[in-house]
Amino acid sequence: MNFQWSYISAIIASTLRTCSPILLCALAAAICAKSNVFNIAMEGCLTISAFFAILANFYSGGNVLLAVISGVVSSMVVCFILSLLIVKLKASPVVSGMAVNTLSNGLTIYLMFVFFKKKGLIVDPIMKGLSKITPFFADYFPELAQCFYGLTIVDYLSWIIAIAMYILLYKTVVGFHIRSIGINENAAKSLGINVDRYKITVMTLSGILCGLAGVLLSMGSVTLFIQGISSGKGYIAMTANNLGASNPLAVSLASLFFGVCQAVGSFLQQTSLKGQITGSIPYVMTIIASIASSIWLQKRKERKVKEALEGQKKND
Amino acid sequence: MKTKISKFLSNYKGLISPLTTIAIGLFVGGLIMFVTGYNPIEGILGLIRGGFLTKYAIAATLTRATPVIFAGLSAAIAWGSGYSSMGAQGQMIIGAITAAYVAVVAPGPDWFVVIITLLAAMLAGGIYSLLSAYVSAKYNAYLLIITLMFNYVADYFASYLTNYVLLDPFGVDKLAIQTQKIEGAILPRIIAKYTVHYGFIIALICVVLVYILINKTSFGYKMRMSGLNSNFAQYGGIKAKKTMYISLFISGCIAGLGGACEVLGTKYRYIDTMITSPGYSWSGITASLMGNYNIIGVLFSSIFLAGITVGGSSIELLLGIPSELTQIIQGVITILVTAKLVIGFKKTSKGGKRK
Repeated sequence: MNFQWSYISAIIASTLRTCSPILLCALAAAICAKSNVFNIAMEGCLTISAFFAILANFYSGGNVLLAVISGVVSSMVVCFILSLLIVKLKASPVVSGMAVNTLSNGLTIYLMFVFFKKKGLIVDPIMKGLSKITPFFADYFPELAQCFYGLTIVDYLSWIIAIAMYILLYKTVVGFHIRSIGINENAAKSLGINVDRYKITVMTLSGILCGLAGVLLSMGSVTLFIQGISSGKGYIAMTANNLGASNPLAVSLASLFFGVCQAVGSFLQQTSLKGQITGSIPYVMTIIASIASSIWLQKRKERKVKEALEGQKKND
Repeated sequence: MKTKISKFLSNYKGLISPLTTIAIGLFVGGLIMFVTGYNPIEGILGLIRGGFLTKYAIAATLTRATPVIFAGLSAAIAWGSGYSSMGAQGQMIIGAITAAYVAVVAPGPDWFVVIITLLAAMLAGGIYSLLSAYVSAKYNAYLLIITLMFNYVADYFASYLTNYVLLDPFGVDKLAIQTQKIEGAILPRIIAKYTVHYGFIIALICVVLVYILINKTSFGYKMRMSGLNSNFAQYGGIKAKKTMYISLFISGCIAGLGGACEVLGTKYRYIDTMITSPGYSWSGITASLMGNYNIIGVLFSSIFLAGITVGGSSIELLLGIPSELTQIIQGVITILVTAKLVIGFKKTSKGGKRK
């Protein structure tokens, strides 16, 4: 029993760890979707912020706070510029976003070579990761605390942000404005809402969230930067946002699902299954989840139509 | 006389904005080199010399341009019809691995095996594209994300096959993850001294065929219409789903063919990550944007992008400037094109809905 529990708790802890970057990105995608801007550049923002966090970490001799700020600010700047391109210059969000993704990949490797004189992997004992937080109940319930093993402050923060974003979107005037832009931009404009400014602000905010996620990637469970560190997490997060219909709480659940997929994938790597199969699990599950959610939505829609029709018949 | 000049200018107007874009892209590249402590003039000149100015450079550029042209055509068909598919990479991988398998096992004379291999790879790429199109259309999922996910799956799938099923049994180097070498059924080099192979000729034939398909056939008209305005096209009696399936199938076929040409023309086998790491697919998409989905434009943009990439490797060797500089230049060019930052681009733009 004890043996099994250690496995389960390890998977839970791994799920929570892999979930938080996806969750932060998915929340970024959600708030963008709510205000009717399409942000596909999260993949690039993750790479940029992960790299600049490591860069600042290295040159400050392991100053974690500086590293976090550097990562978050770099991603924020990228998203701000992108928002100007999309909102002010009417650039195609898909094309410019994908361009940012390639650009950030090229730029990080270029700068890696400039600063470290090598390509591929940066790892150095001088760099420090985010400090791990032991849950306060660790002394009383050590077995439960195992489920939260290795979580950093940003991991906890991501869940707080999810709740905060729900409150922001559904309980405040600002959130009402943001959602009204998503529902009908022209109507929002006619009410005197400065749509452009809201969009730019929201995208910059999404940059901050992606920045936190990137910092988690490079300084969370391991402290290193490697080429392709984001490995499609930005795209998976977009699917999580679709599954959760941009509602922060539902999006959190969807992100948790993808966290489980990644954790199970990396857990199965220790078994006899080949790495190529376990590695593809998150991506296959993303496709399957999109299909399943679509079928479910379709069925719900049909049921609603049916109920409405029956109700009409009764009235007649 | 005056009308002649204005006519001349209007004829070449389409050319001016891509050239300006390229110039600004190179300028930004130079700026980055300057900031990071390299000599920008030396770097840019090295980039151009290494990519375009010697015989070997031209041969290397055309070799590299071959898969980029295929990816660019594939993207131009899909994006030009209004479907933002990023699936060229996955389709190229599927085409390449299919080619590496079929070319080894298929019986018959070499020329026959080459044809069978190319057809098989086309079909495989097309079906893979159709699969993502089906998932996207039937289940109302976002095509862009689905195709990206399909790319990852294709990469892992091909990697699995090369590692465990098709691994070269005669390989001397045990670390090399590659399939068995194709002996006879290859696309030979056009001139033995230079790397450029008959795949480039196939690419040119494809350019002509796609040009005819898009500009001279009724189906091409349907594709362009649904690309310009899908609602209007539907109102005009164009079946959106059928158009989507056919255009994405063709786009996948061409990408698969590109993967096969890369296998039969340069490496003569499938090597793990041979398609993903050079980033052919993204170069192709950039090329199709630079050419504004105009097929001839796509051809020249592909050759240009391949050229600066080859030049990028040469400046890394000669001057120690990281070759990723070309990726940055490519990204800058894409942003310039899509944000319509270059004056005059808007006028020459023929539109095309980009979702």
